[in-house]
Amino acid sequence: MTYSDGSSAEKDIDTFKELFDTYYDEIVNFMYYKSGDIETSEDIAQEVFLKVWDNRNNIKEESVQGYLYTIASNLLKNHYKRNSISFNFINSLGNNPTSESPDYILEMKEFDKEIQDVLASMPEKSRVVFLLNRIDGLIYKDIARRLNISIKAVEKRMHKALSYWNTHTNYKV
Amino acid sequence: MEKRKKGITFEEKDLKDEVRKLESGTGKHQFKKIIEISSAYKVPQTKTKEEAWTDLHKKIRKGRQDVTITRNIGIYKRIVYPLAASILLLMSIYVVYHYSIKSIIVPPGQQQTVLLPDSSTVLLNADSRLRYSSFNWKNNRKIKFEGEAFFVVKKGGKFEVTCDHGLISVLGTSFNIFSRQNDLEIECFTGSIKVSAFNDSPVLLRGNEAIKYSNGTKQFTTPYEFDPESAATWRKGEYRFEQTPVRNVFDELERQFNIQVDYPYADNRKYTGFFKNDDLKLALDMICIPMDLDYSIIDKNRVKIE
Repeated sequence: MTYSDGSSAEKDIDTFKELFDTYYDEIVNFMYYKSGDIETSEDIAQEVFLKVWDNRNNIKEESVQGYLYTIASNLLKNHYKRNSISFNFINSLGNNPTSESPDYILEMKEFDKEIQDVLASMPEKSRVVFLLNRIDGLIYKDIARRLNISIKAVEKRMHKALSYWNTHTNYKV
Repeated sequence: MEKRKKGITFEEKDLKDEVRKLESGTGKHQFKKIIEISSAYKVPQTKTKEEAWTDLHKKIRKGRQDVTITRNIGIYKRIVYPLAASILLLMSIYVVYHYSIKSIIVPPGQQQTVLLPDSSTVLLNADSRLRYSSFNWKNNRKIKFEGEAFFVVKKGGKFEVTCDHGLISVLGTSFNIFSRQNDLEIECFTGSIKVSAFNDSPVLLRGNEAIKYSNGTKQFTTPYEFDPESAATWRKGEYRFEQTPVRNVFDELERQFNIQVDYPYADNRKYTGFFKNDDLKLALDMICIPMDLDYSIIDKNRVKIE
């Protein structure tokens, strides 16, 4: 993000808006995966982007993504302390009206609840990697870059997440 | 954002075995189902991206304003702990300061030598008061003083003595201060000192120079020379006077012998001479005979002049 070359404030804002549009969703998602609290995640996202705006003259374009994730983690750590979390993901599969029987729909609901509960109890590092891969559809290389860890570390966390599913689900569909 | 890769296909080879194991390990279709459902999850939101941008834009426009995220932080962390810490800090500062205040009061009929933290000395004459704080004395040599005293100040930073009518600041020197009621007289023996009435520019005194404060004009006289041999002789128990109002001489007598002198005349007669503080009868003779006065010692604490 190079704003320093004497450009006007309006131009600064335009460039900043682009940056915001690119990264806002994934930063909020990332914090939601960590905290399970959407309001806090959105509040802190504001703070994260304000910090980037304040430091716009010192941040290089190629490092801004890592910078965003680092500030987000730190602010979340400072402002959010809770032992147990719970998720409230929107299940977009359940939205389409189907000819399935009411029993099946009920079963699906229970299964959905179980998945969200297991996610909430999963170790944070594994959960974040798993959800970045599943929901944001990021490949390991991109996860590694965002979290500033090695690809090997991403694989390890993913592996942990998958074994966690194995040991913590009993529900048979 | 990168292209989405949904479904069960993980692009890393090593995990394929893991996934296969999971599929066969738990219920037949269960794992597929988990992946399918969780991949379709959407993060909930309380405001849209556009709303979030509007909020952010407002904050940028208004200039930097701290966004206070106070949710989930207990009242203890936010208010009580910092408050308790600051109260504790204030109390400890008070205690340190309070116990560092030294106050020395010498009653009539006595003299006392005070050794200051930097080994400067103050010889206090009878009926004198001195107050200072030993806290950070090295950088803050300040004394409040009333009475008469002879100071020998070690070299160092500024050394300040505050009296009722003036401020004496020195670096390293010896000098005598007489500061009682309406009078202030400073005699500089060695080194140099600065003297100022509180409303006046300071006057510099060098060795063997003295200065007096006049209560009438509320100003200092110009510096004059004095003989150090015959000045501040009170240190040896001798009290010398030159053209001094008799009432002031009796005041000194009261202080030295811790007595009360009844002097019924409100006149302006001046006395020149001296007395010693070891024998009251002799001292009274020294004052009263040249001034053509009679005295009677009523009891241990009281003398009547006629």
